[in-house]
Amino acid sequence: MSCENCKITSPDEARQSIRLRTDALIERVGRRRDCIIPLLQAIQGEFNYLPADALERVYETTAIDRAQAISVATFYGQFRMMPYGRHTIRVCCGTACHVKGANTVYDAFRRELSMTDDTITTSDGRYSVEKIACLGCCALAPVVQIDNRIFGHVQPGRVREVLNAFEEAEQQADDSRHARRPAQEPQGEIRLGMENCCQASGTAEIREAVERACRELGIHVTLKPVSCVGACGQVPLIDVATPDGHITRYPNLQPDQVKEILLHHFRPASPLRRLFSIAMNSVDNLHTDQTWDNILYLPEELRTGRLRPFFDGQPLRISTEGYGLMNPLDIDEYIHRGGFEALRRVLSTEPQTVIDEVLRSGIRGRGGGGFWAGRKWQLVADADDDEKYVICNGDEGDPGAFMDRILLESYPLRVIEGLLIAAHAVGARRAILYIRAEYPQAVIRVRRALELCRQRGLVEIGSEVRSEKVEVSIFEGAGAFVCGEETALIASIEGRRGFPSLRPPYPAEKGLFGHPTLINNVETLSQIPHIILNGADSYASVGTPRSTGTKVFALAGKVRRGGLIEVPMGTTLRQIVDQIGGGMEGNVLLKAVQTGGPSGGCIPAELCDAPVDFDALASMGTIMGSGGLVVLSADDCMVDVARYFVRFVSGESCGKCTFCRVGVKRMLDILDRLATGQGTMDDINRLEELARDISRASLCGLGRSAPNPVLSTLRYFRHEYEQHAQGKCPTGSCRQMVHLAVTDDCIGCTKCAQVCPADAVPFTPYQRPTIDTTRCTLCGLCLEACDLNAIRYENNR
Amino acid sequence: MKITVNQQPLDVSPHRPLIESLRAAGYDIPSMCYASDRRHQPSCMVCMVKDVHTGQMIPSCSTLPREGMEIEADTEEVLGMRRQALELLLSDHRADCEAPCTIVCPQSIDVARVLLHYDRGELSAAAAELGDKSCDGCKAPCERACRRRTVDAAVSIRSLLDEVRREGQQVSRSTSQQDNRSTSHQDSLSQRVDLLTCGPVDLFNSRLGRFTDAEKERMKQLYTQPSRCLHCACEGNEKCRLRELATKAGIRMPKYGVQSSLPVKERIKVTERLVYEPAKCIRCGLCVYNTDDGFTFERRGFDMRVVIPEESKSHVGDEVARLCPTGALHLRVLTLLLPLLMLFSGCGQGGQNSSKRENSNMGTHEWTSFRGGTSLAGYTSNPLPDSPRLLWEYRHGVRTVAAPIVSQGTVYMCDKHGQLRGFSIADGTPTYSLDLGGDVEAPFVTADTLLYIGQMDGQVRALSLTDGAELWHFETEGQILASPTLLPRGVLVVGSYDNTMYTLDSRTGNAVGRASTGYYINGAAAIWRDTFALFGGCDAWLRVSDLRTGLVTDSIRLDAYLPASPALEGDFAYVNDYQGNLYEIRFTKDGHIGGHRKMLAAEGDEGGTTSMPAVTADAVFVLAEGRFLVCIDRADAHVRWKQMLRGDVGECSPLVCADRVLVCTRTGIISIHDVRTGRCLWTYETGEQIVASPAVAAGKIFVLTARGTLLCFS
Repeated sequence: MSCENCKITSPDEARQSIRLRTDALIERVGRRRDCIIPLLQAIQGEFNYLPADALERVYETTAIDRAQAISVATFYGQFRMMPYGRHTIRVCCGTACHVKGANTVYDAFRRELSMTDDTITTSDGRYSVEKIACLGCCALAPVVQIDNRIFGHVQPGRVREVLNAFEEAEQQADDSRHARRPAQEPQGEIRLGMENCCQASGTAEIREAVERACRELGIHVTLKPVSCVGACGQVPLIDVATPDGHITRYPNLQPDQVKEILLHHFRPASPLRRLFSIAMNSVDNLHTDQTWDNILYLPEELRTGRLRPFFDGQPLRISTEGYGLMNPLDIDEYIHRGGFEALRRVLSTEPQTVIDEVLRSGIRGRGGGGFWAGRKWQLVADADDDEKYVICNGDEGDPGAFMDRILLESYPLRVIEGLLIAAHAVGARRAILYIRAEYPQAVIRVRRALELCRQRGLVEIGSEVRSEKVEVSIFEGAGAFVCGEETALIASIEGRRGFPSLRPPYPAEKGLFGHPTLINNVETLSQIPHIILNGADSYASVGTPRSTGTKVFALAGKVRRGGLIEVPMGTTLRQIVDQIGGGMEGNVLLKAVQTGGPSGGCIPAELCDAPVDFDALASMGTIMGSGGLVVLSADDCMVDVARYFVRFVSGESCGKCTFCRVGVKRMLDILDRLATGQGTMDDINRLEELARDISRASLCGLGRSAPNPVLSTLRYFRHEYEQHAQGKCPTGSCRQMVHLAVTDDCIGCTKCAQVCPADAVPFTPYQRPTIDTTRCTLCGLCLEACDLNAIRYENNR
Repeated sequence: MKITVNQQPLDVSPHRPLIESLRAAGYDIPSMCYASDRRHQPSCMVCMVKDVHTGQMIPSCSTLPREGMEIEADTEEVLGMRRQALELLLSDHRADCEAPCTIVCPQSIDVARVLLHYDRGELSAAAAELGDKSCDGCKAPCERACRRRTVDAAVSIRSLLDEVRREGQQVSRSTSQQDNRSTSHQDSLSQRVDLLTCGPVDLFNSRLGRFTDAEKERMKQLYTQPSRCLHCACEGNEKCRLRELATKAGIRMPKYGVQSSLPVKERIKVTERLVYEPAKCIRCGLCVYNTDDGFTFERRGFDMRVVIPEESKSHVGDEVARLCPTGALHLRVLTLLLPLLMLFSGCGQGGQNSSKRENSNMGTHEWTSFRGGTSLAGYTSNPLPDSPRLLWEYRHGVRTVAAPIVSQGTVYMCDKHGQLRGFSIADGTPTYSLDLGGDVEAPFVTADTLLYIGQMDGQVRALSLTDGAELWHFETEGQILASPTLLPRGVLVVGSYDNTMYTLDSRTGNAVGRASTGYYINGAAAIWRDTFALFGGCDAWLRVSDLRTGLVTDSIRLDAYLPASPALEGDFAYVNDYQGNLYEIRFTKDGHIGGHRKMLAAEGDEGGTTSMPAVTADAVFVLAEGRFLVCIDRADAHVRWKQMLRGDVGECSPLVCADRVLVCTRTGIISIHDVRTGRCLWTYETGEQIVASPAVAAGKIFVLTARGTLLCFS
């Protein structure tokens, strides 16, 4: 990282040191041109950015030249040429966070850290602030990540609080850590989700509280980190399993409730301690009101009642089987529960039989396009080439989607099993897990899982039919949405910019390094073991005739219970929103459901009774995508949503073809005009024409689907566009068109004046204040502060 | 293989891209990013055809036919989509095809071209371009359309044209016999003009749009040549396929306006002839795919751009200009030569931050001629180090009189036997060595990687510093003792002991003109307004020659002969004669000598000096009376102060660096004085004679003694 501890004085020595450290990295990673991305990642990992001297060293000693390095380093979002501050604050701008006000959170951080217009780092070099496409914790939106800590529900007013919490935690981390106690006979098990969402809601504190309480009370329980439960909106959540097999679930847990729960379920080791702690607890409870709303005394129904329909709505689990139960990295447990049985069977079967099985199951690719997976397998298997590749596509970059992340983090063994089956079936000797680098936890877990599999000899086993062994490696994507497109993904593995190439030829014919390559999405592969184990017919019986099996969705937005869900294909959106999601948050009206992220569209409430499958979604002008479902309410502006996605694609377009590079930018220009009240009716027609042309003439899938958010909202919500062209944003989402005003309901409590960070609200006790619109930054803090809802957005015109 | 095109069957080769087969079958398929024999990737989408089965538009340049394929090659729908592609490309193409002044001229005068010739100093060509077209009674819409108007004030086109008419007639009368080349040139020009103005095609004109405030500031700084013209017209507009296709598609005004992420009018010099203008680039990538470690893409999406890193420029050849489908990459043509001054390098803010640094400090890092500039004023804003200390020294031990030169981090010295050496300015490590194969006493000049030097054997040579190869040489008939003067736009002026001041084309070494004088020429020429050279001679005449013709246009005889060079500041020149008199000469607007006066009269016999003065905005600094540094007020010629130096003065002239004066005496003592008081602030004894002028660059002082010791102070 920085050179604080080094004794380097002269610039020459510093340069020399950079060169030496770079040499070591080059030695480790390699000198070929296709090593560039791992090499740059290693350099950035070492120096926190890409120093010019390190790059010079790369030109000098590897096959990578200047042109390639500039081209690659500036293409991928991960790389930076300038050093960042010691801590990086990443404000998630995923769809769910966006509709919940991520931009104002970003502004609030900048304001809090007194940052001026175009800097990214504070003047003292302590913090850098950046926006990030999606952290994948959509159920806790708005989400902010500071270094490796994630904070959920960060409202603009909580910014200082979050920073303090972070600093405090940093302080504690520096203090000495406790040594682990020797293990004793456990009295039971506490299962705790440790995924991003859970961490964002404070699981780490719960874990600490459990450990502390156990120490104090002398209770010995196994604390087991488990795979994602899926109920991301109801975390922290623990399951207490007692030796008699009884499981009690506690959602929405607070750290101070832990002790009591432990006391309730387990007996402290010594009677003296028991007595002491009971006495202490009674005294504690006397002094507080906790007794009355004590979590232990809540009836089961009230405590977990809201969760039950969430789980009841998901009867069949395939990709997420073992949710909330399995330790993601406990290979014995996985094998015990039937893991790797499918692989074992495949190894003793003719590959064609396996492919036939997959074909017959009717499974379609979960990555977005919905191409029949079996046909892809067949194409690769039939290709006449000694060298073939299988790639697991985990470059999930859609804002508002986190299925792949959770599957990789919680069920890495299942994904690896699916990958190995695919490799054996098509005769590939090399398999690559492509995981985006923004998911560090996923990379760590998959790497660990792969190690475990290797130790068990599961990876390098040859099949009985063919004697070749499979070599599995991990490739970290470097932050480019377009690399989810398979030809662009291949380009990035080959060490080039993520430019997609024209298909045909398809990767199945001519893919990685010119060899036939099978590329399947994480979720597709994670369904394969189930198909092999339970048979194609059983799988095909789930879902609809042309879309079989189950689909994992990331449910987020204005819904009561967001989270990761797995439902059979053909479930209606209404079911998902009402039953699993528990209806709309705050009882507002459902307006639309956005599916498929930036490549998808918005399905209006009146069409939400349609079953969710590939074909039905396509007929509604959207796509399944990788499975993000963002629920939009009557408070959401559809022009703003379309603009959000178009802006996202505009930033993520690779820039290769005219229609995507310039066309999407021009769409954004028009949407910007509409969203700032400068648009005209003519703009709407122009936008529509442009959108249609882009979808017909772009080179790759990203460009062709980029206009979907615009086309679908134009189709179902054209009147909103027209209102914008007339200068009105009915929901107040388009900030340039509205101002904040105080209504007659105001009693002059001055709460708004107290919270306003921009001094736009005068301090006028007992009088209705008038907001100074020239100063107001529309951060919305006063809206939150007002108890009487006496402040609201009004249109400028 | 059989496919269907516009519902007609067509037999095609399965291995040729569709575009080739379609073109062979007579379909007119336009393209921009495709070159049949070169590497390419589909990007522009101008060549698209419709795949009837899928309804998608596919780029025919990169699609191989498939059995049973059905396409539409030129239906209304396809043409509309192609037009849309062009519209999108044009909306990101911020440039003028033709200059607005030319477009609006009711007399169809190619105003832009006239101004271009004017700025190049080619008045006869400018006059020819103008012909007998009159501006009488015209309300000068050209000035209203002038882009410069939005920056500060419009170019005074009317009066410039009048000037061209007047002067052009004079010049053409006096030179019409001599310069055949320019006459034939005029013929070809007038033909072209005829084609342009009388041709039936109404060409599409791309528009630059409005300047932002930052751009206006930059324009002001960059375009300071006499006419102030921004030279809006595109140099590559003749080969531009974007313009051609837009014209064919009937586009008049770009539908989506013009809004680019690229800096407007940025001109990057890639090779001596190849110029890259990013704002015109359509990112087709032909130059990227067809150079090896040369051009490359930077960033992505709408912000994606093509850049050429400074270090990679040498990997690029001129032929890449032919590949570029727009005027973004073009070769500078002699007739359409813009001053090189305007070419500034820089490849964006992203990848290489070094370029930015070079831009801002360009002046302070380079010292490419013995007085640091073509005016020979001996003034630089480069500050001297506060308390200089010796950083490094190099003892060569061979007599050296030519002044040191600093270019791109290297300081060059050339000893009397023609051994050229280069040292890293940072630590004095020898980094360069070249044997010129002839004795050298004259200072030399550099421009980029080229070196121009005059030798004792009378040869003027242009050498590449990278490989020592000789680009050209030119023979004079006497020894050369003075530095050549290099004008940025490609003119080299050098005087010889064959009594002639030569004006050479710095690219070819051809003599553009020769000005004969009565005796040896000992000093270098100072350049006034890029057009006139001022030089003295051993016949006591100070002469002015017109660089466009090389002929002497005016002269004045002074009291004694003039071994040193004159120094210019504004319209005034200052020169010492051998007796020690200092003269001020005033130029009139048209380059004639308007008058002169004596600023300092010699007293006694020992005043003789071979050094030259240094000039600032308000004062002249001169070595006088054997051992004095004198500061004279330019307004009323009174002596502000007079400071006695340690040791005798010699050939080495004073140098003003911001608020300090740097002086080296023949006795070998270096001293620094305050500009206002003359007080001595610092001295250093080298113990060796100093003849050569010092160089000041990158915050360092470089002094070369006659024994070949190079000292670097910082």
